[in-house]
Amino acid sequence: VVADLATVQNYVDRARVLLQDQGTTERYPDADIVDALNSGISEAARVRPDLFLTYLRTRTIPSYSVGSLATAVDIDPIWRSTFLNYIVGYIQIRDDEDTQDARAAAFLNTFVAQLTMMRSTPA
Amino acid sequence: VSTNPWLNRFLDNTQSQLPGATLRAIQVELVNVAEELLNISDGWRETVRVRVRQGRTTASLAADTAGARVARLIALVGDNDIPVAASLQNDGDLLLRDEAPADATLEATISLLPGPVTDDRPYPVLPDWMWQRETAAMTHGVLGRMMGQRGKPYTSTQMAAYHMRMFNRMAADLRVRTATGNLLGGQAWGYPQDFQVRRKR
Repeated sequence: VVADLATVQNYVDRARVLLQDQGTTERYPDADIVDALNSGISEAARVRPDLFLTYLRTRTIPSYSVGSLATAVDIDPIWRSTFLNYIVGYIQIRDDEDTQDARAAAFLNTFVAQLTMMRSTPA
Repeated sequence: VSTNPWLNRFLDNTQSQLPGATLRAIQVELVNVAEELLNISDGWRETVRVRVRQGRTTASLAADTAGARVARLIALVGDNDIPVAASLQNDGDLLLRDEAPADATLEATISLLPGPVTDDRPYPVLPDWMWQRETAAMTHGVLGRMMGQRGKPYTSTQMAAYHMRMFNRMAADLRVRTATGNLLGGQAWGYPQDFQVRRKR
């Protein structure tokens, strides 16, 4: 169980649960999931700049790499699970073989809706 | 967790009514609100000594309270509490109407604003009485400003209007209480704003 979503590895592990990618052969590389996390942070900084105020002074936002999975992710604890929606939607919408466009769009829309409105967190 | 129970009360009140708000965003707005509250009310005052030199018309004026900056000059008196005509320049210097006839030490009553905050010290420096007596006003101000922001889970134009109305009412009340020295039976009302004929200087 990955409860706290404190590190990059936590996001990768939790995303695999939602992506049903926990087999012995992983379908999605870690790099793709980390890339999705970075894209989610970029999107969140656009929609909710207040989540990354200190970074935005220098027009930078947190970015992570597959080479540092143990790194702590600098996202406010109350918003961490929201980013899983973006990761799952982002991964699924770019996957040609396993595309479920409607489901992917739902995850991405839920991500933005949660950032901007009162919505629950299904992930 | 802060050791200031009033700050804790403020944070409990704001965070419970602003779902999804980050602590950093609340701190930013608290700085804005504290400054606005004190700008409206001139509620934070202190008396400082000002050294003037013979033949000069300027003197430097600074707050004694660390972390505070001068907002306005309320009064300036010399020996025997005789008023001295002067104004406060935008750069913080005192400008005397007439050259000082001799070296002297004057007493200036000034109103203060909190100084800049830092990442390590994100809360504005405020006197204890402000936390004890104006926490409700600051809470309304922060809630009003944050609920008025666009595209947030806590956005509510109706509630923003309510909280800003309460904040403005409390700020005006603080201004009156400051002007009357919190004197019971003093003038307890503010002059109707519709009849305002000049701006605060």
